[in-house]
This record gives sequence, structure tokens and C-alpha cells, in this order.
Amino acid sequence: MPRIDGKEAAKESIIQIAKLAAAAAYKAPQLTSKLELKTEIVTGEDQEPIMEFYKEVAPISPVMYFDYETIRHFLEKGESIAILLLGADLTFSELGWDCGACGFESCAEFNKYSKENKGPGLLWGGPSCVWKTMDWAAACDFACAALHQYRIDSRSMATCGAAAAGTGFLPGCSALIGIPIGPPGENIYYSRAQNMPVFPYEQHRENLLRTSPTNWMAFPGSTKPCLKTKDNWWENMEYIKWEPLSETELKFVQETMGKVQEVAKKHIPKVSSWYEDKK
Amino acid sequence: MEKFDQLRGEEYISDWPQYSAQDLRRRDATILAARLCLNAALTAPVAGGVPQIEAHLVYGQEEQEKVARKMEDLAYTNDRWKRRFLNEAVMVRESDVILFLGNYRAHETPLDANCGLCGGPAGCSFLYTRRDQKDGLIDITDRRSDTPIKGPLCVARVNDLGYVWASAIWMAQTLMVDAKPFMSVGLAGQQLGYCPNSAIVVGILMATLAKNPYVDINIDYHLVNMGKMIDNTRKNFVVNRQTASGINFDYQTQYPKKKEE
Repeated sequence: MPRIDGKEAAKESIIQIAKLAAAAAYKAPQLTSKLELKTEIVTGEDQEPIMEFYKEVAPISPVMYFDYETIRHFLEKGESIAILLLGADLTFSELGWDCGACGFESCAEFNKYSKENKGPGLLWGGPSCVWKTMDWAAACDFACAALHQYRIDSRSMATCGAAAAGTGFLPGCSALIGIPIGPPGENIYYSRAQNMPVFPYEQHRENLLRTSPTNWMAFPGSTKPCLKTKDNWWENMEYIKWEPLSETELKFVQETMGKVQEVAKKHIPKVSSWYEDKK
Repeated sequence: MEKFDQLRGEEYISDWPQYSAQDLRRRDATILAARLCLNAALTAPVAGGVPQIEAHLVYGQEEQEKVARKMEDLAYTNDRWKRRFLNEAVMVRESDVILFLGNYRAHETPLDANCGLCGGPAGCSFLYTRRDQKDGLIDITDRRSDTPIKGPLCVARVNDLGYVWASAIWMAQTLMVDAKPFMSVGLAGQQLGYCPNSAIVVGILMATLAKNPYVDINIDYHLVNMGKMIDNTRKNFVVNRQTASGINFDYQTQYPKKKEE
């Protein structure tokens, strides 16, 4: 009997388990029986386009940055991650249920609107048939549940799906989710120790103040309450203001999106060619 | 010690006759499984971990009949779902328990992330321009609707409901309990007032029987099913007793003889 290093074995198991998760996704029950699920497992250097997209968009999206830092750390350490992509085109309904949940009186009207107006939002595309959306979600859920039963950490990430869609993976899907699988470890996508250095205490505090100001709000009787932003908050009181992004901020967003588009342009031909070759 | 001295007993369990004491004991275990499925649903991953799910457990002959009849009412409102709804109403009657799961944020408190699922490039404006709202606070008090579900909904929230019911189904499969999610059951339940705060509801039927009641369905299932078969047996056999042998006899003193006797 050969001897196998346990850590190596755990590493090698990632790809096998990713395959079983893909199989579980197809086992998921459907409400419509009409969902055409598309899946793909991206490994090794083929993950580079996704990582590069992540990196470029990170400066304007803390969520992208957070997930990018997490995955980058694992890859740089030589850990094994498989990215399971699950996508579907949700922008067409052949159901004829006319349920109204999408906002249109009939599936026919939904399809008409969709034909003329579909396209990407910030993370996914639309419009979507809500019943097909739930079938797609069920497939993602079954993949994650399978991974959970094998005790392999994973996290379904809209950010990862968006980065994959942006660089040409699974063309034709209006919605795409990416599930980084592994490396073996405990709660690695939740207790992200490696993210500590890039987010100092002050950043945590500022984010909390910005997102939950009510918690630090002084007596609001004046209708212009100050925020208790320091121990001696009553001195040089600080207030919330709201305003559109400044010209500098807007310019930064536009410049970043320009770089993101460059990344997309760079990678789409090669990523797409894989699908062409398969035909 | 006393507590454990009392922890003894005998329970007879059988699926027949339906709704007998032994059948109700059997159903009780499915209801327990449904509670565990509900747990799985409540811990399902949703965007941002935001609480947004409510549930109703419904079981009992009268309660299930009410849901089945609502589905039959709905069947005649749309030709495209008529056959499906009629077939699935039979399954409701054959189930042990119904688990309704609804999302109470999809119409009122969206994800607000401009994700694009509901309207594509229009982002959240797709939903907000089609709903009554002030400063982004959606007014849901006008519940009148020309469609069975009043849309549009936040599809990111609906997507989360997908994770939720799929997790319930996963748990059912792990527990070897037959279960299947239905749009028809959910719609009927919603109209009966189950999951009262939800914009969209999915109904999961669950059963612990020798034969999975949600697969291998024959043609015209609403006319040809176990319930109808049994009822037709009851209807005919009383007549057969009187007529099939062509003549009645006094069982205490007579018995028909075979030809050779």
C-alpha cells in the first residue's frame, strides 16, 4: 500500500468534490422543469482572468476587494481552489403561467420587454422569470449542500460569478454564480484571517459608522443630531451629510470601470475560444 | 428516575387505514421531519444573511383538502397550468404535511444593490418605477392585482427563496422523506392566507409512504388515482355482492356448488 500525505490527499480531493457538487446541482428539484443549467469547473491558471477582473474592480467595491483578497491569499500560498460556475439564461419564459411576479401581466409581455431591454446590471443580467430564478438558486443550493456534506468549505459568491461573466465564462447566461471550493480548512470563507492586515481597526469603525449611523446618533430632537464619533463627542460635533459623488469620485469610478473593460477585452477571446473548440 | 420509568410504551404504526390512529402516528414522524426541513430552510444561505423568510406547516385531512380545492379553483383560471394544478391537487391529498415557505421582503424591502436580476440594465429603477413608493420606501397597502402575484418583485430576494426551499428539500432527501416543491401549492397557500406577509410562496409536499406520491403519475390523474380507485371499489362492490353471482343465497344454510360436485 502506498503512503499518501494527508494534506496532499485533501488538496487532490478538491477537484473530485467539485465534480460531485456539479452533479448535485443537476439533481436539484425544479419548479418549472424548464431550466437549462450550465456548469463549469475552473481550475489552475484558467482562474487568472477571474482574479484579474476581481483585482481591477476592487478599488470601487469593498465586497469585490474582500473576496479578491481571500482567494488571492490561498492561491499565492499554493493552496488548491476549484471554482464551480453555475449559470442559466433566466430572461425568457416559455411557461405561460402569467403569474405577474416579474411585473408584467403575461409571460408574452415579459418576453417582449426582455427582448428589447435585457442586459447586465451590477452583478447579473435581467429581466428574470422569478420561477426559473428559483430553480437556478436551487441548483446552486444543492451544489453547496453537497460540498457541506463532504465537509469542504465553499462560499457561493455573486462577485466571483460577475468576474467570471465579465471575462467571458459561460456565455449566454444572464445569471452566473461562482463557488470557490476549498482549500481544506475550517470556516475559511468566514474567519478570513488573511484579510486582517488590509482592514485596520479604523476602517472597521468607519464602515460601521457609515452603514449604521443610528447606533451612534445623539438625541435627535434638534432634527439635526450629531454622530457620537469619539469619546468626547460633544466637542467639535460631527454630522451626517448626504450628497452625490464628487467629480473626483465619479471620475475614479469611470477610470476603474475603464480598466475593468480592458481586462474583459483582454481575456474574453481566449476564454470564449474554449467553447468554440468544444463545438 | 421516575421520568424514565414512564419512558416506555408500544406504538403500532401502519399507513392503513388512512387517518387511523396508526396512520396518524406515522404522519407525526413526517411532521417532525418537516420541522427539521424547516430548520434547514431557515439556515439556508441568503444574500447578506438578511432575515426574510416565513413559513407555515399545514397538516390534517380538512386542512389539506382546503388547499387541494383552492388549487382546483385556480386550475380553471389558466389553461397552461390546468392539468398540472389538477394533478398536483391529488398529491396534496396524498401527502402527510405541507411546508409553505415565503419571502416577506421581495415586494417591500428589496436588496437595493442594482444587481440587475429583475430588470437588467435598469437596475433597481425597474422595480421602484413599477411600485408605489416614496423616497425608496415601498407602499404595499394597495394589494389589488390583476395577476395572481403582484409584481415586480426583487428577484435577488426571490433567488434567496430558491436557496431556502432547496435546502428544505435537501434535508428531506437526507431524511429519506419524499418531498417536492410546487408553484401550484404555494400559490394556493398564499391565496388561503398562509405565509401572510409574503409576496411569493412555494409549497413543499412531504410524505413517508411505500410509494413516492410525486412521481409515476398516470394520465388524467385527477380522475384516475388511489382515492378514486378505492371510492369506485366501494361504489361497485356493494352492488357486485348482490348481482355478480346472478342469484342471492342464504349463506347460513347454502353455498353454491362447483359443477363436478
